[in-house]
Amino acid sequence: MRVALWRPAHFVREARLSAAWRSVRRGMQWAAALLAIAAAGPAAAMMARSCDDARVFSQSPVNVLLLPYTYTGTQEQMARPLSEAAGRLGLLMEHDSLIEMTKFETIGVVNLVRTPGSRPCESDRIWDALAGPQRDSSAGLRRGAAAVMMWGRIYEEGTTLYVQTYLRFGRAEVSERVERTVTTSSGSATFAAQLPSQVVTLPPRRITRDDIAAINREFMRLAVVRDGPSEYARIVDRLPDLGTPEASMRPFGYAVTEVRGDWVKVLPLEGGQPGWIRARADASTWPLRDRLPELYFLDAVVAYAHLRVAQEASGFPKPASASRLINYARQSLGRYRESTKEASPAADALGHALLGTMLMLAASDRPRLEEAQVEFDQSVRLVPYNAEARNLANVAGVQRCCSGPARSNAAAGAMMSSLLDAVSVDPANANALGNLAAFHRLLDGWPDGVAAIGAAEVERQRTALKQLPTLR
Amino acid sequence: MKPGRRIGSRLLAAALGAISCGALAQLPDCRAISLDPAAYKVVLGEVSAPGDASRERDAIRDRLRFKLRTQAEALQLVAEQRQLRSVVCEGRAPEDEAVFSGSTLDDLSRLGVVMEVWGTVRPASGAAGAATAREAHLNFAVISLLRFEPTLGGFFDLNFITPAGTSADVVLKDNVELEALATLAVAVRYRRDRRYDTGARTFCEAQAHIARSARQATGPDVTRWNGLREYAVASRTALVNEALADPQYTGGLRVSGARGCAP
Repeated sequence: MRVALWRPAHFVREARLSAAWRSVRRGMQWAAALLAIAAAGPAAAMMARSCDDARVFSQSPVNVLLLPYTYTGTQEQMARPLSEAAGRLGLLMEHDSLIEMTKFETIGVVNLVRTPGSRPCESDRIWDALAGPQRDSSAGLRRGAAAVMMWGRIYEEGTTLYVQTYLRFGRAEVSERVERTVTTSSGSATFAAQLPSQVVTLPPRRITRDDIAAINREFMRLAVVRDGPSEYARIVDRLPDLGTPEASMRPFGYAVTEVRGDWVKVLPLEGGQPGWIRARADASTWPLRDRLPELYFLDAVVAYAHLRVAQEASGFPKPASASRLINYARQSLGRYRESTKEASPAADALGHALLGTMLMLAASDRPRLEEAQVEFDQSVRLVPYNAEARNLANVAGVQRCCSGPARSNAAAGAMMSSLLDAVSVDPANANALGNLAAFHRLLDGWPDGVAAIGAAEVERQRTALKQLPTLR
Repeated sequence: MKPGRRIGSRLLAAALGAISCGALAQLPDCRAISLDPAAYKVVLGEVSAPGDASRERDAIRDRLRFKLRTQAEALQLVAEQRQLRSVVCEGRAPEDEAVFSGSTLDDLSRLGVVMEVWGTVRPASGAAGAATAREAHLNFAVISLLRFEPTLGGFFDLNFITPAGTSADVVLKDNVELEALATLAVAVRYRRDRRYDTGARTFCEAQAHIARSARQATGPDVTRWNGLREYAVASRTALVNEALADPQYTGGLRVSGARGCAP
């Protein structure tokens, strides 16, 4: 395994170089990163890039894109450089990602920064360039690969920072659709759903400068490079101090070539001694995630994305097993909820839908499908107006109630009602309408099911479905 | 697009732009409103803080401004889903709700504005010690209600009292009221446009957000939110009946019938 965090050369120093040399050097740095990854086989990598020169690790099934947190307000306010505390917060989040993302084994993390003179790092522009249908093929995702993008706004007042985070994810040219075919003795029908959303606004947070300073101190305590994976091993180097104002402009990078328990072996890419650092800190002394639980949410989305890419795309390194990914997602969402007192129904509903989808995709047994159903039902409870949340619940529900010889006639009525509810909350939703039509196909060979619902009602619906332009 | 149509669109935009600069003169101008008259919009304006400047007042104003800007971004993230855009208008803070009347209301409505939101910070009134406390308000003018449902009342005021010396976190407050009023505001327009499917969906979303707003409200606000919820339920029922009575309509409501928004 190899993980690399790489911040390209000092931007100020870079400004003094000729354009040609800058281009050559960027190429060399890029080649070095690719070589470092290639040498380790299935790999993960981290780097920092200018938003105007954004690119992903195309070999990676999942890329995390961290955009800079910026001020909001008037043009003048937004153009202000971040204060030391605000800038340090972004860097600490970057390091937190390095530490936590090692568990995914195959991950690309791209920390995007706004360089002097460049355009603002607008989320839509970056997404379109790297993950959208018109993306640049040399810089963007390969078809079927996933990106998870996090960005936000900062407001500072005295010693307090308010942080508002947004998150977006998706796969290149592939929708987050789930299909399940239910087969009975008289035929089969396919039911479909998508996630309730792929973009979410997370609750705003408050964090103090003292918190940031404490987290930075802990980072510096951990940022000791030793010649072995032990607290007693000899110190050979230190990682750069993030507390300095110029930290965000410093060449910075290392690869992680091995993980042993809490320890990771790092190989600096911009000079320095290779060795081991302790990656996992105690939550009580590394409170960043308590202050910014959205990092847990990010973890869960990354786990979900890994599972989807592994199941549906080819040519990528295999990630951790489905069970491990589900456990990561479950634990991360649990910690997110524990640390989030503010109500955020849309984010919570998405979390339940992500976990439920993972459980359903990995389900080879009924208990897991029932677990998925519990998650989907929670999602519906939180966003009852969202037809896709209902569609997910219905896809799980129809597999449980209405497949196989032991299908329940009594459950047919409840299932029909649930399918109609999805159509009622969003009458133009193609999946909701398609699922209702699919259920009618199951009923074709299920006279007892028709009787349980009522023959006249079934006939009324069939007639109405036939008149729908989208289903004709 | 054919050249003639493009010119036609430009002429229309120019005409509507002129309206926004003319008839809307009582409101600080905001060109962004008239850029895409076909799109429905929530306008998020400025935070005004009349009276003597002070660090405390400015801090509350800046927090409220941050809240408005991040709310605008949050709304814009789901703009495609809801077919509702957010527009930020720097410096636009109506001095008086009375500006939302007559031709101004008509013009805003024609430009696709369904709601305007702005902030106010002012000294608290009434209570003892009021001199050392301030009130931060988020003000909502629901244009579509004012224009099409005038008896319902279209002004809403979300009040955060921030006693001096404490750190009342306007910023940390969730956006449920904005979500509730924005979805209701645009659902009213969809119903008028006979966009039955989109309207039915959006009324369901509005009902859920209004119910949550009612649960968070206190005092007379609870009654007001419950009244809005009843209105949203009744409007959706009426919309479904209108769809079913419309011989041109062949959408999903014909299948689901008169079912409401399931819990």
